[in-house]
Amino acid sequence: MIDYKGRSEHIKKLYERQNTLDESIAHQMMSSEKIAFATSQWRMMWRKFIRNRIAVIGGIVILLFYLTALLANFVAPYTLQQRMTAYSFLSPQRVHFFTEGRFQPFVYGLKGSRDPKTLMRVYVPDPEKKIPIRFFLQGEPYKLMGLFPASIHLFGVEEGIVSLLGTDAQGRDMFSRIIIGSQISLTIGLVGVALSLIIGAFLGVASGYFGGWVDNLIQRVIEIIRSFPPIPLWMALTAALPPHWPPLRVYFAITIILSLIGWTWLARQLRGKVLALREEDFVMAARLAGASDGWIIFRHLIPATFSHIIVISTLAMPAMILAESALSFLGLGLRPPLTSWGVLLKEAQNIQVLLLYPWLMIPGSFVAISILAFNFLGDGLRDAADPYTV
Amino acid sequence: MKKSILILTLSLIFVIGISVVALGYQEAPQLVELVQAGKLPPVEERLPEEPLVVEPIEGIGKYGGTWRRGFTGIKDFHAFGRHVYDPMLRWPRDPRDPVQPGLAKEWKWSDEGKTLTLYLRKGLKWSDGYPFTTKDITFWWYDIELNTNITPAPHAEWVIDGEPMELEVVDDYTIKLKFAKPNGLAETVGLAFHGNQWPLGFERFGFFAPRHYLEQYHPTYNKAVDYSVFEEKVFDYNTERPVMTAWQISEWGPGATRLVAKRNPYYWKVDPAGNQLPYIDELVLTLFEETEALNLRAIEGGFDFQFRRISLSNYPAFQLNKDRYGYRIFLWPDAVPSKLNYYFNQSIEDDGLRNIFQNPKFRQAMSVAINREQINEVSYLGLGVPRAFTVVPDSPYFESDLDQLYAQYDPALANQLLDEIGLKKGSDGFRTRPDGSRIEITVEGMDWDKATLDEMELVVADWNDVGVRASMKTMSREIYWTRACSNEIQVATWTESRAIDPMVDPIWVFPFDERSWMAPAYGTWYKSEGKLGKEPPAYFKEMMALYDQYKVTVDADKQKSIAQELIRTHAENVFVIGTVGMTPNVVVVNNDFRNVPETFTTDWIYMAPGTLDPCHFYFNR
Amino acid sequence: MPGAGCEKPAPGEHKKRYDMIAYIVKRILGLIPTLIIISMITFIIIQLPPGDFVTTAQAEIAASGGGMDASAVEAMRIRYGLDRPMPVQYWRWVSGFPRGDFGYSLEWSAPVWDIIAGRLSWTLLLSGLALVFMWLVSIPIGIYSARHKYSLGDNVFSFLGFLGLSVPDFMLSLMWLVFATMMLGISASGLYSPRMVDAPWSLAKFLDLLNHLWPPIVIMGVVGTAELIRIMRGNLLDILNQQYVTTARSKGLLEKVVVQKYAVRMAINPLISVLGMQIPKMISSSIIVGYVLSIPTVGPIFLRALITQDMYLAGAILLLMTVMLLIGNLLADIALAWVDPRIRY
Repeated sequence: MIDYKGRSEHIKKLYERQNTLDESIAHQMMSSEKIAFATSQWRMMWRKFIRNRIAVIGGIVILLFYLTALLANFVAPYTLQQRMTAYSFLSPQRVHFFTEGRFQPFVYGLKGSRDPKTLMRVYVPDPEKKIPIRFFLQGEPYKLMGLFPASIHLFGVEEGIVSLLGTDAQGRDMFSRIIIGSQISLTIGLVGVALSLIIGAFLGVASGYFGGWVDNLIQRVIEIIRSFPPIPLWMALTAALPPHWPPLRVYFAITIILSLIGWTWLARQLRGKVLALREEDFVMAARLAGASDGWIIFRHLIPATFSHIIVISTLAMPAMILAESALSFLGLGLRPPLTSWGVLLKEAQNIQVLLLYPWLMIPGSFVAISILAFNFLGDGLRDAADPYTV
Repeated sequence: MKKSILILTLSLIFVIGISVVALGYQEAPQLVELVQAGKLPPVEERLPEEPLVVEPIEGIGKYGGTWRRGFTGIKDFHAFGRHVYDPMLRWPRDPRDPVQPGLAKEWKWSDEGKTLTLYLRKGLKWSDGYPFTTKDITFWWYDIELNTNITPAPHAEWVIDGEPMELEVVDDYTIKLKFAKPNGLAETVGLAFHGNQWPLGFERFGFFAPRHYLEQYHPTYNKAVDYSVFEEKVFDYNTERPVMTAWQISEWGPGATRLVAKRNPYYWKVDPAGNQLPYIDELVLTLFEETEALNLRAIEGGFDFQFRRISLSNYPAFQLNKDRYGYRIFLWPDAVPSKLNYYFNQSIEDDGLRNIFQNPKFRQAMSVAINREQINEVSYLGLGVPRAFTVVPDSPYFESDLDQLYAQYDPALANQLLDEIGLKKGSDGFRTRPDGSRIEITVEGMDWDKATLDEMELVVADWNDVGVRASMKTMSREIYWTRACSNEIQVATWTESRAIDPMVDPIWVFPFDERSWMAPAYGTWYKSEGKLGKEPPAYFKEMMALYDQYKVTVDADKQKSIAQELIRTHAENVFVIGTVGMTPNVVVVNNDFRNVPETFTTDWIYMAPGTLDPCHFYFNR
Repeated sequence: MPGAGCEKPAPGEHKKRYDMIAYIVKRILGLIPTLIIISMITFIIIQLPPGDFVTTAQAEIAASGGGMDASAVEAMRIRYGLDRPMPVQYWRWVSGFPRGDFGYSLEWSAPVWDIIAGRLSWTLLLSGLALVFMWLVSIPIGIYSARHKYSLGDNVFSFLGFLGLSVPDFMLSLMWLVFATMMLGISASGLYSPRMVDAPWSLAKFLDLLNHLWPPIVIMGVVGTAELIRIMRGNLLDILNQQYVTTARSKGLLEKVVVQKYAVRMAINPLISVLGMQIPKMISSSIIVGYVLSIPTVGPIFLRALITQDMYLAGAILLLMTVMLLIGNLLADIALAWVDPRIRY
């Protein structure tokens, strides 16, 4: 007679017994090994990860990017709407850090005019005019994270302009636009990966666990989806979005479209893992104890693949960021007035920028850096999670 | 000024000189070979009795050369179509001059303006040598224009009082056009604007077609074919089709990346020295899917004469590179009343918004809220003219008090007017309707180039600054156009030409048809004669009545006064808001390429650069 | 009897050959239902955007300053068969495939196949050459990195590899365009320089073409190269630690021979499947790179077809790219099966 009420107690006892077994073995080993053995899986991963300096750097960069995105409006000296047409097409300004020996960053005031022959805007720094850069000063009001009204900016100037990465045709500061644009670029990846995760984890694990026709069906579906080259498929899908949709709806539609292919990769990976885990003792034990399939999947298999999931998600982020940038760049993804790195790059995709104002392509480096950082991080996590590599 | 007098005098001397010297014609060397080989009749037999003499802009030219240009696809037909301007009658080079002879050397009105007699040049020949006669006109009228399988309804300029015109053929070179009432549109709209070979790409207007070639493909004459075959054979890209233009398309096919057009040996024009035109042997248009790639090629000196699709924003790049690649840059003012204009839809479904939009004070306020100087600097390198949306100074209807009406930058005035209408500002700084509900207008446009998008953003920002909450949306051209014509857009935008003689196609003057986005539903009403669309309010109906009068008078003065009245009403009521107009075209001209003027006002209706006679451009090598 | 000039193959050989053929046939047959489903999905996707080609054509004409009235529009719609129900349109489209008829491009007024045939070959050529590039570059570098693990060279290549992995291909194309046009003063877009476009075929023209082809090939190949290098390095490292390698070493064979004859051969096998996985990326990449650098691949036309809702053209291109991908995968699998005796089929 199976005692259903006591089932969870039963399983807990099984785990505890496993743990005590581990402990007893550990006691018998030498001290350093003991520490290694006694620490949990997570602790081990962490220690391994820390030693990989490149991965740590990647992690720090990512953290920095997301933190900045969160506080974007504060970090940026200007808002998206601020147009200083007197300074249109200004190239990145040099910041000088020392005034008369003291640390006081400043920029030179600028005199702008139009070259009579080429009609380009030219700016001549005025050596007499030193405009100090102030920190935590009052600027244009904004809503932090869209909710809290504020008007303090991390840095700025009281007159003139401080433009670290130059300005565009309308005189908008690119540094501010890039920072605020990162909010969309970085979160589309998160939402997209989250969606892919939900679908992919569930289907992948189910596919590996149940096998049989369920597995076959899901694998077929995956196969068909993956037969399409991803970019053309995304292009075709985004081209179908009605243009008069409000920006938010477009944003979510794009994340859904991106995850439509994304989940397949996740599902495949997880299926492989589950196929291996399926034969493990603890699964058999759980089944013998009478646990239902759903229980096993949610309570055992998915947590067991957790580290794997994290790794895969991290490695999937670059693809998402890249996809959004590429689609917006082609004009099929997000459109102005939404601002993302891809949209900024689309604005830069013309001859005059290429030949005359190349600093407008800097958002591309941000895309590259974030992809690089995610790759380093994901690689490091993967190495850390995999017990078999040295 | 002095230069043109000199040229005129020289040309006069040449013309006199010709009549003194025997009428000997010369032809291109490549044709001379063919004549000697017996493959072509001699030039005197190929030209008509009175070939059209083209007044050169600089001087007599030299034969030879390949003219390289760029275009963006099959739909960019005008990249070729506007460089071969050979209709029945022609627009003059100076818009203030009257209509000029073309294929028809003379025309006479009689019967109080109800009959127009056209006299074609005797001896005109198609590019395959077959004679061009009035039979080609009747073929077009009866078998194309009146054939509902091809043309659902004949063009408005040939239908007076519900009656299509009648043709009476006098002989091979004389034909009478008979109208139920005097037809004021025949010369200008019908013969100069629409008087080319049918169909001129996707325009589907024309005045003649080669009967001898097309009859065999027309279902009325040949039961074995259907209309899809006809469409294929009559289309301009069909290399077999005979033409009357200076060059004939000789190479084009699906998947091709270039379009090549070769000299037409039967072309019916000469220069004052008797040289048969064109000078240039061949036109090669290279396909660029992206306008940016086209511009890059132009910057690298890959084109001999191009202004179409050249973006003003690239002017600095051109200036920096012209010496290295050997070309000149001209700035030709474009007769655009405003590079981008804004149409508040006065026929929109939403009652509340419609009432607001129909109030002239609202539109006036929106107009003075715009900082045009800023737009000019940001988008047009300061080269445009901040102005209101009305005809340009070159137009015969221009009146100087109109072009700055409500074009000043005066946000205080804007705020005052908006307050007067009753759109009070709420606590958030944005105005509400009289009943308190939100005002939120969406300005829609298509995927313009960067400079135009910048302008849109500036205008939307300016409107937000005076308390009118506005946002913008862009979409692909195709989707946008449909939305605009079907009355779905609140504030439409478009680039507009038709600023020298808007009466030829008055879509911006008053609600003329569904393309009149100031009130597309009323325009549809007017065009369908009340069957479709929505009935307009009285002030529009008055304008429509005026235009009806314009259509039925052949008295040029009467036409002019009606036009001026319409345009004045339009400007005072700000039916369309303009920002910066008469922006220049950037014209890239190879240093060797001659007979191109340094300045010229381009206009859509005037088929620029057709009136410059591209057939007399030449390479000075 | 061995040595008696016996020509008969060993009993196992026949079976292996038949097995191979059976495997290929089985894979090809398995593709057919996939292809059918894919064609249906493609058709549905292409139909998703609102409006149809006629609305597009109307807008284009108007944008150029002309105009089409409502009745002309309706006539056009009927003429192009756009008033029939969906399944009928689908069937009409699909039934043409065996004849090589992929429909009619409404935008270009020509059969779809005529338009894309030439461009597909460019797409194939560029993708193929990019794969070859990847192969040729990544293997030597991977070997070097594995043998000189953690050396400066290894780290440099590692970092470059990561860089190549991270910079998006459209960025690379743009950067190249700027660099070439501004700094070097050479033509970087299109297939030929402006001077050479209309010139007759010659050695100079051929060199000009090559000069315009190598940047897109390298750009497309960079991403895959980085991955391949890492995998090659990883595999080789694994193998070099294996027992049979140690055995070979202990036998006194030169390190070079050990590496080349034994290790590399084994390490290459998984690379074939990885190379196969690069094919979709190559096809996608050729679109973007072709767009930025104006190379006449299928890319620019596909983008335009999507925007103008030229559905037969867009659908055919999507379908053909998918087919290319499937065939590529099939070839990769076959190559792998042929090379690696461990794979059972």
